[in-house]
Amino acid sequence: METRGNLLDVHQLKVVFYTYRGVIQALNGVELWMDKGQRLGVVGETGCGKSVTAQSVMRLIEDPGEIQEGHIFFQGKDLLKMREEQMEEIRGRDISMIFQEPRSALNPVMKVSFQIAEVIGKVQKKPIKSVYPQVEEILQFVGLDAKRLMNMYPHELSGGMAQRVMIGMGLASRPKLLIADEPTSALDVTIQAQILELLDKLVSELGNAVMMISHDMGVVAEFCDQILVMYAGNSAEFAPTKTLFQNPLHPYTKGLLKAVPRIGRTDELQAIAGTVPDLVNPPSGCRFHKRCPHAMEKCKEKRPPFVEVEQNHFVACYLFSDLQGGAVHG
Amino acid sequence: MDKSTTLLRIEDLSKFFAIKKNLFSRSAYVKAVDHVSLQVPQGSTFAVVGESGSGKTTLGRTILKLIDPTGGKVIMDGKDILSLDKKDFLEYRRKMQIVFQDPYNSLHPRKLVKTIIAEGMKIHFKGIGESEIRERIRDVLEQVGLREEHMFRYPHEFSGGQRQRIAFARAIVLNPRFVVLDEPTSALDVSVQAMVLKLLKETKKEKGLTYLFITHDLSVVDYLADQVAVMYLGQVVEKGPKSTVFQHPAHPYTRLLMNSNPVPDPFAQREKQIVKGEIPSPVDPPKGCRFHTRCPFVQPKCKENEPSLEPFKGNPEHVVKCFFPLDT
Repeated sequence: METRGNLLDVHQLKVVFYTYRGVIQALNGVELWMDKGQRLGVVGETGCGKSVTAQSVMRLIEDPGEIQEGHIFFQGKDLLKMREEQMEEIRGRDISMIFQEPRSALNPVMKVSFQIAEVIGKVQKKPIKSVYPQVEEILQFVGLDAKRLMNMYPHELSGGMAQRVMIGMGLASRPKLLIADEPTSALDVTIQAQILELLDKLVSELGNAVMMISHDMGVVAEFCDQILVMYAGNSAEFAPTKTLFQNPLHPYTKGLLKAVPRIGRTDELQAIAGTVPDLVNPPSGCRFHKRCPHAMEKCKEKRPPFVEVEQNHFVACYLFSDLQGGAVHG
Repeated sequence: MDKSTTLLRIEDLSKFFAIKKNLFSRSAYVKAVDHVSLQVPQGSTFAVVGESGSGKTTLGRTILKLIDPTGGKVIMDGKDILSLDKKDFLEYRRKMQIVFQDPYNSLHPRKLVKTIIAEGMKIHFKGIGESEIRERIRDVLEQVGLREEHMFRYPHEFSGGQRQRIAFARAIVLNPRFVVLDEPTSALDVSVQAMVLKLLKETKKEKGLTYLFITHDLSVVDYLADQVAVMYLGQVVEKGPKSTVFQHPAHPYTRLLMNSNPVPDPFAQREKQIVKGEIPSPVDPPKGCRFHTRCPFVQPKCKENEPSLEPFKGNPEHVVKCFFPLDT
């Protein structure tokens, strides 16, 4: 199997969740890959599987969920074939993750400084007491008043401060990949701008790759250089940011871009007809076909392959699958 | 009266919440809404924009008397409706409706959609028969893009966007004149948001409604609003016709807010300006101009004196609460 992307290569990832309603087919063959230092934005609507993808990379999918098929190559090694002890070496050290609601990701009854120290202690295999000077450094690094924060508990922090703490913890081990799951969605716009600026600065300094999961096209347009659009557990379109916005190919991507309001937008918004399918009983073939204005017979029968339509521009759609082999769609 | 008649005049409306700092101190106040005045033209969409803690939601609820105001007036039909007694106020309950942000909490989980929508009608349209109610529910469901059979379902059977349609149906079935929309699309995905926004726009036109649209999202404001007021720590800092304010945001806060909004266009050229700091506690707001702690253009005067809302460049429609409004 050829490896694509020298940092991360997710291949045909299938994840299911067993529930009383039936089996949720959350990921249905997700494809994505990243190079070192790259910033990948993963976008899609609620339930498209973007968070499950991130959790799979961290191997945090637990019962009743199961990774059924696929490979996740991280620096050439398949994470899904590793023993849990090996994975623990990678988790938090080479790959770390920050979450949407930073205050609920912190333990409410422990001081923030202790929680950061605990992470550093674990990663560096040092006693917790000995790493407190590093905690102060980290707090300064993320633009916080370190002296004051050393004795504070999570509830004393604002959302923005808590997210800074999380970013500090996430970057403390100098990971090769930081997964940020909707890191600014719970924050006000002015605070969101601050956090994105901070992340941008730190990541440029440290040179690590970032997988930014977001529902906000604006956030990924500003932060990421590569974008994956997901729909109902599939990779729909994968391209460099500018290419994706300039020449969106998948009907879902096009629909999404037409539905986003923005300041100064003069054309009428266009909604995508229908609703996101229930993944206990997903549509056959292309999972988007019921909402797609261009649906053809074969879309209902077989899932379209994920192919390179023009250089570095991948789409899973029959409208373009014939163009494989370098043909450029204008 | 001028060309656009005013439906609703809000004068010096205030809502202070008393809080105890500790057992022995005197009670302090959170000035959630601090002397806000707005004139909402008939048939317009008046957007109130602000971040969390700006008081925008409290403003909406105080206008509807869902929260009792500390002071001020809300004038409709020439009457201060806040001072009406319960019996006289009932009519205005019908005329003024609200759609809440979270459609997962605003619909009773154990009631049928039919019951949810009929509840208001039974109170406000005395003597109306079952079949008449049924007919109106059918009509209103159709108006919001749902089907007749949906009335026999429970809220959990619907998606977020559909639930928000039900909440909207419940509001408009009473033939209100004024609807407060409190972040009606913030909990929804973009493709669904687009549908709900279009529905709100079209229904307004059809039924001649007037909206007070509360939101933190400036791009949605640009899509829907005619008038806009920007709130910061309980006060209106800038207000005017949307096109004027968006083309020429004069208050530094408005400008920074617009600047902070991420643009879904990687080719957009713009200077990125970041507001420093966070919104201060409304219990103890900064002296002088409340924005001075975060303002990049702060002057000594701003820390001492509080500016008043003044017309910008002599335009009485566009007012700004700043000593040094941005001119370029």
